[in-house]
Amino acid sequence: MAEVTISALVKVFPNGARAADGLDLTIRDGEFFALLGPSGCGKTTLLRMLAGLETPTGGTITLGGQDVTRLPPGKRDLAMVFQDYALYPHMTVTDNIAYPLKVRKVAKDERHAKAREAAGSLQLEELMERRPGQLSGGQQQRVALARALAYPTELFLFDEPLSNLDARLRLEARTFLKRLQTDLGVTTVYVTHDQSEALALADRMAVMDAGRFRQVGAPLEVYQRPSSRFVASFIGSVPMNLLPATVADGGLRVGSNRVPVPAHAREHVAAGDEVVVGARPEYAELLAEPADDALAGTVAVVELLGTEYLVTVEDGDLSVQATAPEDPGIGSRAWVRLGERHTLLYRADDGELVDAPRAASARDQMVAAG
Amino acid sequence: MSAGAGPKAPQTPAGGGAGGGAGAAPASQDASDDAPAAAAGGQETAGAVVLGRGGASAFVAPALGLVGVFLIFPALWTLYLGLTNARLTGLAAAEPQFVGLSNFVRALTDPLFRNSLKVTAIFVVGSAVVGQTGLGFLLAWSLRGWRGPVRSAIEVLVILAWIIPGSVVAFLWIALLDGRSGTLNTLIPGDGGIEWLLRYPMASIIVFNTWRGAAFSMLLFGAALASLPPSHLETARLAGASAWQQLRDVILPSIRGHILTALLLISLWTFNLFTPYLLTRGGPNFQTEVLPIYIYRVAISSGQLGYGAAISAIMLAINLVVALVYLNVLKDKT
Repeated sequence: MAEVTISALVKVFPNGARAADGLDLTIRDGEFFALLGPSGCGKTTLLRMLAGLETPTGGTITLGGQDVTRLPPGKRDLAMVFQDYALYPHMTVTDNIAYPLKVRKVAKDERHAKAREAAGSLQLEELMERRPGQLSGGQQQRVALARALAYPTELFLFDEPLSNLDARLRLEARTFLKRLQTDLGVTTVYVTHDQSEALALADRMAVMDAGRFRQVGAPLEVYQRPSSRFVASFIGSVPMNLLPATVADGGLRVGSNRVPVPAHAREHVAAGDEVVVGARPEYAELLAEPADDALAGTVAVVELLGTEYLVTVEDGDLSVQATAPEDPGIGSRAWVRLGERHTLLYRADDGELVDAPRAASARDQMVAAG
Repeated sequence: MSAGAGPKAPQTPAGGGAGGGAGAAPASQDASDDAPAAAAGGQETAGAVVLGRGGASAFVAPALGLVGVFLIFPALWTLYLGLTNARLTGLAAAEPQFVGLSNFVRALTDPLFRNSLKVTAIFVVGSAVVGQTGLGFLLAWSLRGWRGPVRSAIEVLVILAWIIPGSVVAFLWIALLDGRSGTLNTLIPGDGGIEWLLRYPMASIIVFNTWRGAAFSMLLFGAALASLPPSHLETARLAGASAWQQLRDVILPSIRGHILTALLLISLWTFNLFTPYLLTRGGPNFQTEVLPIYIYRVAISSGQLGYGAAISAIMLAINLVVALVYLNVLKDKT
């Protein structure tokens, strides 16, 4: 078990792409940490630098207090599960699981016993003599996990391990993975592009974009209070409403409607400010009667989510979504109250929360560099 | 190959046309019309229903004809010739006599034939198995991580050696290895004057053939290594495997099929290769007289067509055995 620290980590590829642009982060001992971001944001590169498969251009990585920045992967005491599982087709399940032990010169009997032990906790006992080609995707994924479990490690690295599974199996594997990590308490870094996976699994998570952390925090915090428009648009199974608005007369003018300024943001905005209103459909309320503080429109789309409906209400160019327990019927008039407590205001120019300090230096640098 | 019921099914709805097989086009037309019905019956494979036996035969016939004319007939003719005392010229050329297996018996006791077998074996193992396959893999393996102009330059050089015509290459090598004014002797400090092709004939043709053919296995292994998922090697590296362990545990087993295919093709090609003749003419003193050269000398130079054909037949049999062995190994657990 170990704490992972990275400081001022930079990775520039020969083609000039900056996959890591001065990253600082501490991952606590035993923590399940998720790296989330769109493809090409640098999350996989960061994971590969932790593994030692990529050499950083600058900065340091420490693992359990030891500087491992230049250490080869085999000397870092970590296990990695790849998206394609990386099982050897010519080896049986037993040999696959025991391979890292074989490299470490563990005697055959002992490593087979260890492999059986690891496989036992993953319900693989019946499959030990099979080859990967004879296993289902879920079974292969568990074999890859068992290989990571079979020898003592300080750190687990997961590179989108569930993305090759079908939707149903993915949910099962997710629950399983969460339980396993809780039981073992091994520090885990988990890369995913699926925000629901990150929210479900992580103790803490980082949202990445263009080689930088856009937000680091607990999943609930990131979900409820995305620190920027980018994070807001990325997190949530149902996309957050992001509505351009102008501050006027102590309220917000959204299209032809007027809604109150959320209490927590009141002191950070002034009349005339251009803002973006961020409100999750889950917190918004769909009303059948007119209300002062609600956005009026016509129901354009109704989608069943399972226990409730996702209703899209349109008024001219304005389109806003809300969840409702019942189908209001397409074409009917409806009013959407955004739920003031959970509504966030982002500055229209830099996309940050209105109460965030302006990060002038960083932003200027980016503009200068870009 | 297909069951009797297979081809009949599409013909029945065609009105029992007796000449179903004769007119390929109508037969396949009917077959495709009836495809949904047959598929619903669940007895037919889609391909058989769509094409029908007549159509399929019509497509295959030209290729089979060419194979028959240029491969099977000459092979059978060689077998026949091997049983006669046919000669290139003279009376036995006009009216060869049937002599039974005496040519084959003679081959077994012919010391020059046995010498030729031994020379061929050394040549194949040295230049095909170790040389071309080994060097090709080594090249592909060491170039694997490289990109850019150096890699391209090496690849172009290696492939050039492969595509230049044999006679040109032979001239280049004679110029390289010549005793008096050869490039190699000029490069080596000292008195020089080593007649490489006379002093080290077998080594010369092995190096020559290795140099000439390494490109093929380099290309084949390069493609095989490129198809290996990077995560397989990375998993081994994370486990702490050394370069040798990665090679032994991950790479070689993963490209086993490619290795066997390369070995099969290259050893058969080398086994049948006549090009060493251009360098050494089989000499000195039969030291490089591989089987193709031996057959050429016996059948063409000495005119003993029948005996040469018998040895050709033996060579054909050896080819078949080699191929069967490789194919069997290839079939095992792949």
